[in-house]
Amino acid sequence: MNDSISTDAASDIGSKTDGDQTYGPTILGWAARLLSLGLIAFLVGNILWQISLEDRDIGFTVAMERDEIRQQGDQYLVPLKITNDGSEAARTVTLEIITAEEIIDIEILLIGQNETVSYVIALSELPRSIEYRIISYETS
Amino acid sequence: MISYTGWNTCVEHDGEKSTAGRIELRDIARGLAGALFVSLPLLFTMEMWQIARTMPDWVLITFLAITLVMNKLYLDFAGFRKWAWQSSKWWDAVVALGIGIVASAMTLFVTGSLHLGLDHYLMAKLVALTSIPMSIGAAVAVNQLGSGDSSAFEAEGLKLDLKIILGSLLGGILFAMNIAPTIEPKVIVLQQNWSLIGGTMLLSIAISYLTVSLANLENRDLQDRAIITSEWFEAVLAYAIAFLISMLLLWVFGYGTPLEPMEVWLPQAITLSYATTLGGAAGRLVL
Repeated sequence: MNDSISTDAASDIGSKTDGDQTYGPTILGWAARLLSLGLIAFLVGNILWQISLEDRDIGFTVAMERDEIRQQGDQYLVPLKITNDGSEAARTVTLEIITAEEIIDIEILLIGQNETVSYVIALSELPRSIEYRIISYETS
Repeated sequence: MISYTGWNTCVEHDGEKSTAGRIELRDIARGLAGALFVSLPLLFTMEMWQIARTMPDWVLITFLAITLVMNKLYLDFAGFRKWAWQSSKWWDAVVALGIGIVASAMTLFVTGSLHLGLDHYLMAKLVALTSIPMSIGAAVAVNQLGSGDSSAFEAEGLKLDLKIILGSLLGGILFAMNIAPTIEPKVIVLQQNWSLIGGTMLLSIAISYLTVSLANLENRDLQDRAIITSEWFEAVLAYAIAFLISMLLLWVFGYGTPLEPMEVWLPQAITLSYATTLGGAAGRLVL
């Protein structure tokens, strides 16, 4: 059942502007306000926390996903997880992936701080381990 | 004192009755729709995802703070409420930003740009950056999706000269926000020589004059103003505002700052100013 707004109710509800009645928010309005504040605080807090941390030089971790390796024809498709451990983004990253038998260059367009990208390389032999070397990258 | 209106409270406006809850729901839905209408295309550009990763943290936080103030100004003239049944524009500015955050996060999530494997800091930066244009869309929703009655009412107290400046500023930012993060102004500059760049500048000023003054889409109030009493002066001033906005946005999105050689940033700023000027002209007409 709808209850019409009363003068008493209006008095604690809000101010008047230019003779027009204004009201306070409903429960949804308050939820939207609080949720918005919470989301803004979360985003800003997260970024501020990151600012407070010590800067780290760009560096990469390259991990082979051994369980995901699959054979296709006479080659092995080897998934890699490449993570940027630095505290800034790197563009146009070129890495050299080195196995006992082969060396493969890979290029990553953009990788942000702590971001991990998946990459699949094709090798003729099943690798036991892999190493990598940074060839180049671009910073902002 | 915390104010509150019951969900089923009957609210009447222009002879139309509805419950407060239903109006609130419609307002927020309108804000969400406005956010998506204005800024969805921008979230589909790679530049936004890339800039979010490379933008300095303090620049992003400053930009968020400026956006909150800008949203308050947009809400003074537009808003996501069809009529001003709630009085706190600052709270509405916060909600507009909240709507922007939700709309961005939803869109980025369903398009795969935001996923749980992403570092929480990158998630925060990506959502924070994309929520900026989204929140502006929410703050101007009634102008996008049908006019409300709050804007003209709120604008009456402002001096007319200030209205010209505000209109140029708000309209310019709204337009430029959809182009500034993209690589296209930089690509366009590669196709230009200095003659074309100069021509772009003259064309921008001419368009500013043509759309607002010559086309006479709205009744002009030149004689009532204190300072901006000439139409050409208005066009040049509006261009100067557009140029400053363009320069600032190019700096925010990492395409060039005045600290770099002039050849790097000036042509881009002039190119972007073409669009910004047009937005400013639209803003002056709306106000």
